[in-house]
Amino acid sequence: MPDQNLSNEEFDVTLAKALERVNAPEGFAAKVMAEAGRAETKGPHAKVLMFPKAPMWLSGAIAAVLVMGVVVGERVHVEHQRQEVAMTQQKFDEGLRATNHALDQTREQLAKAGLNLGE
Amino acid sequence: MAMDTQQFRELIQTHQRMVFSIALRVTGEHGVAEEVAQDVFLELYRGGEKLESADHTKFWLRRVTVNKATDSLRRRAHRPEALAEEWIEESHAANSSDAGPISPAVEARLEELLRTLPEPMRVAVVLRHQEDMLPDEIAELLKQPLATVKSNLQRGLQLMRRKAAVTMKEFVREQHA
Repeated sequence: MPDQNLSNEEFDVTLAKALERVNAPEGFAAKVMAEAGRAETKGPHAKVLMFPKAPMWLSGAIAAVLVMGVVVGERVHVEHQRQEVAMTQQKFDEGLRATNHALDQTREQLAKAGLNLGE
Repeated sequence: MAMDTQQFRELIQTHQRMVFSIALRVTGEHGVAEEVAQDVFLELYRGGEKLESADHTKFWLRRVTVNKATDSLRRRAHRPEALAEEWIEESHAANSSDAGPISPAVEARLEELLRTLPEPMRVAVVLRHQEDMLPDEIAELLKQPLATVKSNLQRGLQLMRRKAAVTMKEFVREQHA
């Protein structure tokens, strides 16, 4: 219940006195000027450089390229191994042929000398 | 385009009390009010606002201060009570040299009551009783219908009077003694 002894007018006057403007904090103007100076140095339209947001499909495309790269890499590796095996096999065959040839010659020389070692 | 530095300095000197006081009474905290006031002036500086007259400058500053202060208030929906007491102490310490015609106790009580008002009522009361603006000027500033402003003012003052009824009697008697 409102105080009957305190009129509305009296209250309003008292309130206006209580709500008089107060001083800004000490050094306020200097602080604002300094801040404005800093903003000026940075430039009024200084912007943070940011990469544009990647579209949704881009991550899928990157993943697909990576998978493809792995598959292609794997195939190249298998092919490389296959070629190495073939070369090794070829060298082995050539070596075997040379050995057989040498054995045949030795066997012939021994046969001429009267020694038969059989097949 | 930023405004001339000298002109800006003069605007701060002229209006800092008004801007800071509105920010303080709406937000209820010295630190926050200082930040708000600083933001207001920096926006003025950076924005290159075309201020056509002294009245226009004052109008712009008041409107932007109220907007920034209420935004800040909404961001800090819950304020611990300890801050309220701190605010009253700081407020009176800062103004102790300007001992006005009313006692600090009355001033403290009224400011405390102001803080308890809902935001729209608080803003209306501050603009009416601190800035001495008429209801139609407040309506223009806040872009609100005149009826809304009048209602907020009336309800805000009613609430304050009702809450003050218990303690104000002694304070005002003391003041008039």
